Amino acid sequence: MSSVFPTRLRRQPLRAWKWPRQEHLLGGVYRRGAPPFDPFPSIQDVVDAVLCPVTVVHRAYHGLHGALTGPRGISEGIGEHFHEFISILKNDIALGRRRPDDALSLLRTYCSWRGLDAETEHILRQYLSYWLRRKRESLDELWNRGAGIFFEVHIASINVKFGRREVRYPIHGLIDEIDIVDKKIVERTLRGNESDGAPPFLKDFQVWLLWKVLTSINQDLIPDIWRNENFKEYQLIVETPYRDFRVEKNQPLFEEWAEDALAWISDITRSSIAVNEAWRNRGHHTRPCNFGDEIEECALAHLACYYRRRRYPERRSALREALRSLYRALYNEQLWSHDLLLYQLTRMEQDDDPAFRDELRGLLTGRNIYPVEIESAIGNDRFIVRIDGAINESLSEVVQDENFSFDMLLGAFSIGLRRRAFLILDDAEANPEDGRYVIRVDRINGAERMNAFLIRGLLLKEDPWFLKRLVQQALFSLEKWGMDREDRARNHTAVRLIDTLFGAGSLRARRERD
Amino acid sequence: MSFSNRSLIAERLEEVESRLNPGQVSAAESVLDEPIQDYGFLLPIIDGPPGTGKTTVGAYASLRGMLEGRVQSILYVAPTNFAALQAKRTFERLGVQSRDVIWLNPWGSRRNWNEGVIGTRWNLSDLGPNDIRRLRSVPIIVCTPYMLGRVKRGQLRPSNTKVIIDEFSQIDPALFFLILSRTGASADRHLRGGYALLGDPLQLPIVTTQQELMENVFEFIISHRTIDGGLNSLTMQYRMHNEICNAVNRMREELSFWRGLRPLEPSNEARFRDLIGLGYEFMEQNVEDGQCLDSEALKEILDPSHVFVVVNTDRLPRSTNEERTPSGSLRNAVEADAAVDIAIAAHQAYHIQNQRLNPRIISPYNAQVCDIKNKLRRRPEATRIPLEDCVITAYKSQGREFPFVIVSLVRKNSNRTIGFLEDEKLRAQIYVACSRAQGKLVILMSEETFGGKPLYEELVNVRGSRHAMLWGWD
Repeated sequence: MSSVFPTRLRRQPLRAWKWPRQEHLLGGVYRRGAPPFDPFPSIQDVVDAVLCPVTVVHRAYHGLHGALTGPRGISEGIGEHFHEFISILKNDIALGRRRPDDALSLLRTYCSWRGLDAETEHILRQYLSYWLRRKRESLDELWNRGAGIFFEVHIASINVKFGRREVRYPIHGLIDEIDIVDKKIVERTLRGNESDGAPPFLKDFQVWLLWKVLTSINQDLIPDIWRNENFKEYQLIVETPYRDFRVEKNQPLFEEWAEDALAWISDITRSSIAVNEAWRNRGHHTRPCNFGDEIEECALAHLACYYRRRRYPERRSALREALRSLYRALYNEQLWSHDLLLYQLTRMEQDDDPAFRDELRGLLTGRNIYPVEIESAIGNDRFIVRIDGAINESLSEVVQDENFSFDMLLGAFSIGLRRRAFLILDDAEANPEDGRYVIRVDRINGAERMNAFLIRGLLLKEDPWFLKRLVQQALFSLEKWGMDREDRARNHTAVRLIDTLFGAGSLRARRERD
Repeated sequence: MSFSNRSLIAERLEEVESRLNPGQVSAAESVLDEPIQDYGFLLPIIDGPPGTGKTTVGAYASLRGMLEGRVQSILYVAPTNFAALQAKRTFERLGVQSRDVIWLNPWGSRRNWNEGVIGTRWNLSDLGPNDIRRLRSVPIIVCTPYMLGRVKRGQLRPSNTKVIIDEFSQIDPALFFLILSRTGASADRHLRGGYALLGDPLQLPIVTTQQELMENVFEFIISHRTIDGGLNSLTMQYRMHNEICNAVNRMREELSFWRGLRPLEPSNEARFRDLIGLGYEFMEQNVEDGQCLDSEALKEILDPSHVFVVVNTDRLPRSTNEERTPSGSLRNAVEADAAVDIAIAAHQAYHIQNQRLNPRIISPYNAQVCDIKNKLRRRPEATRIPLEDCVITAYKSQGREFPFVIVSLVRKNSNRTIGFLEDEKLRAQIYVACSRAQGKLVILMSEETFGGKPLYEELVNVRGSRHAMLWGWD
C-alpha cells in the first residue's frame, strides 16, 4: 500500500483492455457462453469502483448499481427529477417561453405532469428554493442571451487514456449540462450540505472523468454545433443546491484511481478470485469499510454487504450455489446484448479503419439504428420525422412487435443529445407506409437540425437487458432473505419450497391420493 | 375479496366442471391442495400440450378455490404481457367481470379500471392510496414476472394467495426464483396459497445466449431432484382434427427429451372436425386465380377433405430463395405471395352464416410477417381481412387457436441452412405454430431445404393418412 492507496491494495494497471474482435462486432460469431471481451463501463460504474471494488461485484452479479447515488427505492429518483426540472426550466427560459419568476409555478406543473406525490414535490421545492436564491441572476442572464446550454449530453469513447500510459479504455456517460456560452461542464447533485467546503464525495472525480471522456473524442466526430468548442479549456463545475464547486483538471491522483477502478472492473467480470480480492479490499482508497464503520455515502453497505444471516431456509448454501451460476449467466447476457451494442455503436464512428466503420454502419442501420430526419414541430413536444424507404421497412418490422419507444440521439453516438422518443402511429399527421412518423420527444428545441437517429436495443421492450438486472436483484434478495424462528419457518411456503427443492423431503407435482 | 358476480361465475364453473375429463379434474384438485403436506411439499405441475385446456384448468381451479374460500386471491403470472392478457380473457370467459381481473402492466398511460387494465410505475408513485386499496381488494391480478416487484412493494396480494405460473416453458430457473423472491420471500407475511406451474415443456423455449438459462424451470427441477408420483399430464386435446393432431404428435416425439411421452388423443368432438365440421361451407366456385397460384392449385390446397397440407415451395411458379432484410430477419417473397393467395382464396371460399373465414398466417420470421401484411394490404380482395391479427409470429400465436392456419417457414437456400429452425429448442416454434390449427393446416416449406431434417421429415411423414396432402412433393 502506498500513500495514494493507504487502505486498499493497489491494483496492477491493465496492460490492455479486452476488446471485442471484428467478428463479434460484425455479428459473425454465434453469441453463446461467456463473452470474450470486457464490459463497456459507464462513468457511474467507474465512480462506484473507485468508491469500493465490491460495488463492481454487486453491479455485475447482483444487478445493483449507483452506490453513490443510491439504488432505486432509496433516493426515489429525486435527484433525477431535480435535474430534469432544472433542464426544462433553463430550456424554457432560454427559448423565451417562461420568465425566471415562473420557476415555482413551473415546478407545480412538472410535478403534476410527472404524477409526483406531495412529499416529493415538497422536497423538490425546498431544494429548488436554495438553488433559486443563488441562480436568480444567471437565469436573468439566460433570459437575455438565449440558448447555448445543452442538457443530458451522451458521450462515448474508445480512446480514454490515463496518465502517461498508452492503454485505451472504453467509457460512456451522460453529462448533465454543457454551457457553450460560459464554457463549462456541470455535474448537478442533491448531495452535500450548506456548510460544505468541498464537493460531495467523488463528485469532483465524476465531473473530471466526464471531461476526460469528452476530450478523448476526436474533433472530427463532434457535431457542427459544438465543433469549434475547445472542451479542454472548459471549467468543470459540481453544482449542489447550495454552492458551485470548481474542479481542477490536472488530477494525477484521479488518473491513478481511474486505472485502478478499470482494472477491478475487468478482473471481477472474468475471475472469481478477483471477487474474493474485492471483498478483502473493500472501501475507498482513503476510507476503509468495515461493519459498524461503513462509508456513509455508500448506499450498498447495508443493502448488500452487511446484512443479518438467517437460520432458515436450511438449504441456503445449496440455493446460493445454484444462484451463483445464474447471476453470472444473467450478467453475460447483458454483455452480449447491451455492452456489445455499445462497442458496435462507438466503433461505427471511432474505428481507425473507414471501411470497417462503413461495414458496421451498414450492419446496424435498419437493425439497431434508424436514421430520421426531423421535418417540423407540430406542438406538444411532437415532431414529424421522415425515414428512408429501406430503413422504414425495417422499422415497420420492429413495430410489428409494438416496440414504440426508442432512445433517440441527436448529433452522434460519440457525442449527442440523448432523449426518449415515442412513435405515435395513430396520429393523424403520420403515414408510416410512406416513412412519415410522428414522434413525441421533449427538450430538443434548438437541435432539430442535428442528425438524429433512433436506437433499438439499448432499451428493448420485451425482455430487455435491464430486466436481467431486476432478475439479479430479486435473486440476491432471495439469497439474503430468511427467518430465525423454527415454528414460522416450518409453515412458510417459500422456506419449505427451497428446502424441498435442494433437500431431501418429498416433492410431489400431483396430490398424493391420486 | 369477492367477485361482483359470484353466481354467474359459479354457474360457468359448473358448466366447465361437467366437461372436464378425469385428468383435468385431478390436475385441478392438485392446484387446490395445500402446498405444505405431511409427506413434504406439493408443487403442482400441469403438463398441458396444445389444446388440452391447461389454462382453463388453472383458471377453473383457482376460481373454485376462491369460491370455496380455500384461497383468498389469485396472482396469475405469465411470461409475456401478451400471454397475461390471454389469461385475463380466459378468466373473463369464465364469468369474471373485467374489473375483477386486473392486468398489471408497466405503461402508466394504460389505465382503465372498468376494463381491468392498470399501468403503473415501478414504485407505484403514480397510484394514489385509493388505487392501491382497490388493487389490494381485486380478486385476481395477472402480470408478467417483472411486475411482481410492484406487487410486493404495494403488498397487493394477501398471504393466502395462489400463484399460478403459466407457460413454464418460458420460465427459466432465474425467473422462477424471481417469482419466489417477489411473492414468497417476505419476513412478516406467509404466502400460504402456494404455487402451481402450467405449461408444455416442449413449447416455446427461452431465447438466451447462456446454457444455464436455457433450461426451463421444469427441467431445472428434474435435474436437481426426483418428483414423486409424476406430473399432472393432460393428453386429451379438444382443438385439433385427428390429422393435425397426428402431425403434432410426430413433432412431439421428435422434440421430446425424455422417453415414454404419451401421445395426444383428440376428443371425440375434435377428432373429425374439419372446417366443414366447424360449420364452414366451402364454395369452390369462389376460388379465383391468385398472383402466384392458379385456381386449380388453390382449390386442391383448400379442399376441406385435405385437413393437413404441406406445400413444397420449390414448385411454386417463379420460386425464389429467402432474402435477409436490413433488420437481420428473413423473408421469402414468392412464398409470401403463395400464403397471401391461399389466405385470400380461403377467405372467399369458406363461409359460415354469411361470415367469411379469417385465416391466420403464422411465420417464425418478423420480416415475413411484415411482408405478408404489406402484400395483403395491396390486394383489393383482402380489404375485409383484419390484418392486425391475421398475420402473426409464432411467439405471438402461443395460447391461441384458429380454424385455419397457414404456416410460412420462409427458409429456402442452396446451402440447406435453416438457422434457428434447426436449433434443438427454438425449432419448437414450428410445433407451436402448427398446433394452433383446429380444422385445417397448410404449411409452406421448401423440400430441397428442409428435406431430411428430422423434425420436418416427421412433418411430411403422412403415409396412409386420408386427410393429408403433400402438394408438389416428390
